[in-house]
Amino acid sequence: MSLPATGRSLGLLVCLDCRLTVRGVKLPRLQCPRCHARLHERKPHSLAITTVLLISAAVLYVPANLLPVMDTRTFFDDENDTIMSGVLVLLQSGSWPIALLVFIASIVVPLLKILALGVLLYSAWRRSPRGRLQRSQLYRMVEFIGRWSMLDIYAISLLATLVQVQTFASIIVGWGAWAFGAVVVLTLFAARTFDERLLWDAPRHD
Amino acid sequence: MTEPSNPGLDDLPSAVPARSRWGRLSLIWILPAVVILAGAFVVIHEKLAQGISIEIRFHNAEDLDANKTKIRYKDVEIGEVTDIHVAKDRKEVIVTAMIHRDSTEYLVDDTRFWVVRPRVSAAGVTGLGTLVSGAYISIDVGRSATRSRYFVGLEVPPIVTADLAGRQFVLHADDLGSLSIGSLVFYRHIVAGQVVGYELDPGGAGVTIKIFANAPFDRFITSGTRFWQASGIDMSLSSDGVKLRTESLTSILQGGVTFRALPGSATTAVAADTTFTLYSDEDRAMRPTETEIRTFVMYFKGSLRGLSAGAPVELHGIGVGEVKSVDVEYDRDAAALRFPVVVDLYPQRIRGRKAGGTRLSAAQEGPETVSRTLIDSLVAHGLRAELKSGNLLTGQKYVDMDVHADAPAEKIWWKEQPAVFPTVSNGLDEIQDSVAGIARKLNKVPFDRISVRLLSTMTSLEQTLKSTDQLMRHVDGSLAPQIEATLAEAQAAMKNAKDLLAQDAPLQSDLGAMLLQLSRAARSVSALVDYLERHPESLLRGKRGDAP
Amino acid sequence: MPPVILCPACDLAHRRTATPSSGRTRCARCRAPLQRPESAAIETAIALGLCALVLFWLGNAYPLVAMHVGGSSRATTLMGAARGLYDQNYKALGALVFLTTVIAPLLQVTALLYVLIPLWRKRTAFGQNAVIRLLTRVRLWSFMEVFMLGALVALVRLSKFAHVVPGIALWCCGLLMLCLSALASVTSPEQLWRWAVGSQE
Repeated sequence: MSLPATGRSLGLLVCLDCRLTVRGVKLPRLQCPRCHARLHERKPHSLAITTVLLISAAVLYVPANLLPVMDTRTFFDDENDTIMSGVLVLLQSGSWPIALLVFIASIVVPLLKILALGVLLYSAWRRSPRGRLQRSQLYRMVEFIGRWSMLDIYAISLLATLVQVQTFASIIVGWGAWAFGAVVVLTLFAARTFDERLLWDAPRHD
Repeated sequence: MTEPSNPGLDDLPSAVPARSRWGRLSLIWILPAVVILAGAFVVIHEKLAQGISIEIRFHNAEDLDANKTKIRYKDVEIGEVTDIHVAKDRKEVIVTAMIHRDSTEYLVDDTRFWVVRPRVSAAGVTGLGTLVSGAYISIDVGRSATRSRYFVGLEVPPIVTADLAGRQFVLHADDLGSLSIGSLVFYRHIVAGQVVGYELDPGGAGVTIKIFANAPFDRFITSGTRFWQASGIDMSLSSDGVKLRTESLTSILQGGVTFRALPGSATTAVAADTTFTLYSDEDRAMRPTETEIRTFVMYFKGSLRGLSAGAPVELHGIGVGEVKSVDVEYDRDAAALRFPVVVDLYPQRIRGRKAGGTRLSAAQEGPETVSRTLIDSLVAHGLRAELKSGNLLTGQKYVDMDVHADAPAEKIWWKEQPAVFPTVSNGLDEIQDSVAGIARKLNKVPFDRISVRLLSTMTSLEQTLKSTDQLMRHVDGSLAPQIEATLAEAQAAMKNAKDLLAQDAPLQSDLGAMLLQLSRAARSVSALVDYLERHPESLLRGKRGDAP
Repeated sequence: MPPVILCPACDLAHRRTATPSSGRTRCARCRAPLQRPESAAIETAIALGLCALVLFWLGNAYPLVAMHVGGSSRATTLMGAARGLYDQNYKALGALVFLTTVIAPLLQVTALLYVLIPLWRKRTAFGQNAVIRLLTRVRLWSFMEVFMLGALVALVRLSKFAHVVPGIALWCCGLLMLCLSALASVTSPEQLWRWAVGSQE
């Protein structure tokens, strides 16, 4: 069985910053000749760091959805809104496309990212040869959609800044927003620290 | 790891060609050009639409927030506070605000700004809406034509805003009384305006008060209008008695000013800011202007207690003058104390009231001469001044003028100024006279003759008393036992009668039996009559049952 | 030009062949993009960069959206929105919003122009390599398009109880978003390096 020629097998490295393919040298610190970026065969400690980030994100996902993200104070009452209740409010007030958008971006996407990264980490660890293409595509999707979860943070920032009409209505940001922001940032970093080439690496022979 | 055995480059796959996605962008520089132009357009448009930045100085920035507090004119937002900082001299706060472009015409140099927040003042509670909406700065647009961008804010909302119809007037008074800014001005008990400000005169001799009369009431302020303080309760004690006057309850609390046209006075219109005198009460205000005042001096005998400045001088109860002052004088020549009372007389009143009295006309001989002649003739007829008690309750005195036929002849020396007006004695002398009269009368009584008669009457009385005494003794001695005996007999007789009439006395029982028999007889007679009525034939035939 | 191209996604080695007409190639195994078109001139990039700069400035200088409710009105700029979070003591969130909507796009564009304008003049900017590296990394954190969608959600929620007026800056940010993505596609890392290296030679 002939294995495909990979950079590793050929002793070649690719610079992730400038895409230059260079010949690898057995030195502890390697630098790209063109852009002087640090060269690594694979991202260092990719699995470990990604796992840590992923677990933190998963842990924070719970308070992000349970704690209120916004506290709307009007003259009459105090309304605490979690992400889910905000979606319901949008739904009730008739704008179901926006409700759907927020639901997908703020609840589905982070969950999807966490699950997908979990799957990817597991398969990277297992290095099973089947379904690699799909998993690579999954990773690319994760990388792409990751940023869109931020939209609720931006919406909250605008609402909280604008609705500050003293004694009439004011919006106070809640801790759920903080947790949510942390989840988005952590998953973004987790996707970046994950080296997708690990998915394609040949299974280890112990 | 199994190393592949150095494959040749030809063994390597080649990259897969992919579809092209982006066409080539030619004429690319149009894009930034367009964007820059559009951007410039936007910037210029914003700059043009931008308003003017103004500065307002306040004492402090209470309730004001940068980028939040709005500026409103008639409740329409015309600007916003952009910055607040403390002035260099640390005495004020400079509030920078941006006024919208279409409102910049309001920024003239007499435009006023103030902060609207909940306030309690003499006018009531204002600005409660700001508890919900937040404080804002209100503006009163001025009428000047000069533009300005620097203003000093008012610490208190102005009483009168520029768009209020009406006119301002100036009043002058000795003191402020109970007035304050916001005190009401009344016309016929209707609120016609407000006090907007006051100031001590330079020199401190009085107070200048500015009032604003709302339209249409300002029309009623004419040359003949009098103003007086209508604050609180006006109570006066005078020789006329006690007078009590109040305006409205509000004026009791915060002081007020009333105005009214003097009846019979000219009513020419007056311009705004005309000065009027503010009198302290209605009486003083409503006194008609005397065009002619003659000052005299009067000397009265006796105590002047109860006579005060302002006391009226009356002729048959009609006011013809006023006491100006009461003094003490030491006449060296006569080595005695004198009490000159300075009096203002208004000869016009006398002339006006004495219908047909004077045949002199002012036109011919001049007013001064006319009144002198008038007074001279009156004095010649016996017109004198006298001090009288006006009110027993208050003890106030007044000067009463009357024609005394028996007064000694006097003349007024006009050369002395002020001239001395002849007086007659006051009441104390009268009392002396009456007492003297009584004494004289008493003198005439023949006391000695009376006493002689009295003596004889007394003697006969004594005798009568003596004989009565004797009689009494006699009665006591002889009559008394006889009477006693008579009484005893009468008593015995009474006892007999009592015995006779006792319950078980034979007389009674006899009487009782007799009565019984009588009643029986009566009964049988009545039965007989009954029978006869039923059987009248029994008279002839006898009773049934009787015949055999 | 090395004869071998390695796929950065799956590490497969490819033989460098003639670039097809479209200028694009993909990995034979995992279909990740390998090569992008070279033809986009530096001028295009600079032009787009200038547009982006102007739009960026407009988008930040003017209010994004004004809200009128109950007689009072409030408006905020882009930086104001980040500041709002910061003022409510969510300093990290405020910084995140600020970084991803203000700093990242700005750095992205200025770094690009810093590198490209000298290159256009056939010169090398000082620290060019580091700047290009920075540029490619900063790009990952530029979330303008996400912000536009988030602003849309906020506008919809606000319009339920207030009168909402989108400001000029909102449209500028939308255009900026388009501009930035156009810019990113025209100045891929490889392209940049090719220009950079080309000038060095």
